[in-house]
Amino acid sequence: MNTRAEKVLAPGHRLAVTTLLVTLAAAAHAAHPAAAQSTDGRLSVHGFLTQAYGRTDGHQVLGITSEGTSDYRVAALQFRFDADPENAFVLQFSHERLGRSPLSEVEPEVDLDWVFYERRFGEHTVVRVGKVRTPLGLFNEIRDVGTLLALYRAPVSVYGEQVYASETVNGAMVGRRIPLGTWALDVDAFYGSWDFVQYDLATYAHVDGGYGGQVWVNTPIDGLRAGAGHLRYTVGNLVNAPADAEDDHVAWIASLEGNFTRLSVRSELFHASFGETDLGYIGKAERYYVQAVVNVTDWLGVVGQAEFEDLRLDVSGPFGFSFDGNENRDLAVGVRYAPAPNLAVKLEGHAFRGYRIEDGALPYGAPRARAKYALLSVSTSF
Amino acid sequence: MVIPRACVLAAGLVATVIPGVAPQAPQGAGFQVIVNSANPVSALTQGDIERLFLKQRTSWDGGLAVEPVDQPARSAVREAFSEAALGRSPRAVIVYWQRQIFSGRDVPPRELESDDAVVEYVRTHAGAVGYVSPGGAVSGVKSVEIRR
Repeated sequence: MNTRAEKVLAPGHRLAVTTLLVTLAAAAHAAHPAAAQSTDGRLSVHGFLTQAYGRTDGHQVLGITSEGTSDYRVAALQFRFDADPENAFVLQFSHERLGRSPLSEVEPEVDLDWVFYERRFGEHTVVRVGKVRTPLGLFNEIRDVGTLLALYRAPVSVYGEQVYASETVNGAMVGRRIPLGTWALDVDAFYGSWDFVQYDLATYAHVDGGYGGQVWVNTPIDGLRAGAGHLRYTVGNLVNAPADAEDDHVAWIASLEGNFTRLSVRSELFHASFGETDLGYIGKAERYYVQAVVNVTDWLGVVGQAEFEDLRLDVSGPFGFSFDGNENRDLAVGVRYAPAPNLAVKLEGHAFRGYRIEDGALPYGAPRARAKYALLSVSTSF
Repeated sequence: MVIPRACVLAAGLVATVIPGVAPQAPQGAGFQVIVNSANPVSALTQGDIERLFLKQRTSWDGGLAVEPVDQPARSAVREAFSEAALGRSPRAVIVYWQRQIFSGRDVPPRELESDDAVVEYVRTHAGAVGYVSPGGAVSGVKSVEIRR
């Protein structure tokens, strides 16, 4: 049984959220992205909204309860000003609710998602400075855009909807396209700082000088690409650790996508190592998924997805333990009805088995919890 | 049941190499591409047109900034142009632009409501490139040959 009370919004926050949602709903009647531009084409306003209802058959997973919740949505409003062909400013606000998830208690109702200045150099090079979306993997940059996703969310095994996840970097990124005949490389690199909430849901860890990059190989087959990404950073302000303690994290991601007219298949492998002997723990995580979408028609697709999270964790000290095995698994099937590119209705069912439940602590080594949950969602964008 | 990671990734690899529907070659009918009359360009390939309208090419050979202009999403001329010149359906083009927009990378070309509006825009903007219905009046602008 869930005992966590619904979060009550302060009047100011409620007004901000209502304004954002009403603006998005009112604008969503525009059937295509180009409709949201000023008469001189320099200012563009775009947005997206996904509203969902979710319910589990028992354990609470990803904020979804056995009673069901419709306090489940994600939305964003983006403003882009192209001062000239070389210079642009981009600002995006977002709002997210995750039902009864503890994260909904600590994350702001309306967040400044991105704010950056963009400078283009020639045809193929771009530099962004500010708070920029981390270019990593297939989905990080578009992870919340329901009209572009096969299911409600990007695969949670790799992209997270939880602690220890950051979607943006305060710093800079540089991107370059390198045409190679009928092939092309897209190369992105980034550097900067970011914060993320830790398992106590109160302490924000801080990263300074984190860096990484992503390379995409675009093949001559339209829609087929492969990628590799890297992320390296040192975390400070760790919970339950000395004030000067730091933890080095290194992560790799390999991606493969085939996006064709009637079939889309994606698979990614994420590998991360973290922890220090001095800190009393060392860990390695491997997370991977495969997702397939069969588009029966232009507007109807059937989705299948399998996600796995493996963990090796060695914790020393009087309460030490070791864990090595499958941490979480999520198998999903869904139907995606999209009568227009800016409107999608999705019904999906998931069979979850693992430790990522939210209605009670489940120690590693205990039998994994099982839960089935379903999500019905409506997404729009303009 | 434990499914080995290698099997999952191998399944993804095998499935992703199944080729999709090949883009159609430009047909030359259903639309005509126009540029400003001062633009020295007289012919474009399908690849050139695709790069111009997907904003992957942003300047003409002389350095002038490219200003592509589009037609309404449900218009017949846009459908013909998307299929033949961009090698994808209007729906796929919109999805392409959604990805560009929401990754913060770019926004789609300006959309004008009619052939006349496109002609007028191209006539008054030196770097503009647009497309209009076949046989439509294109006075004051230059119609461009499309080469395979």
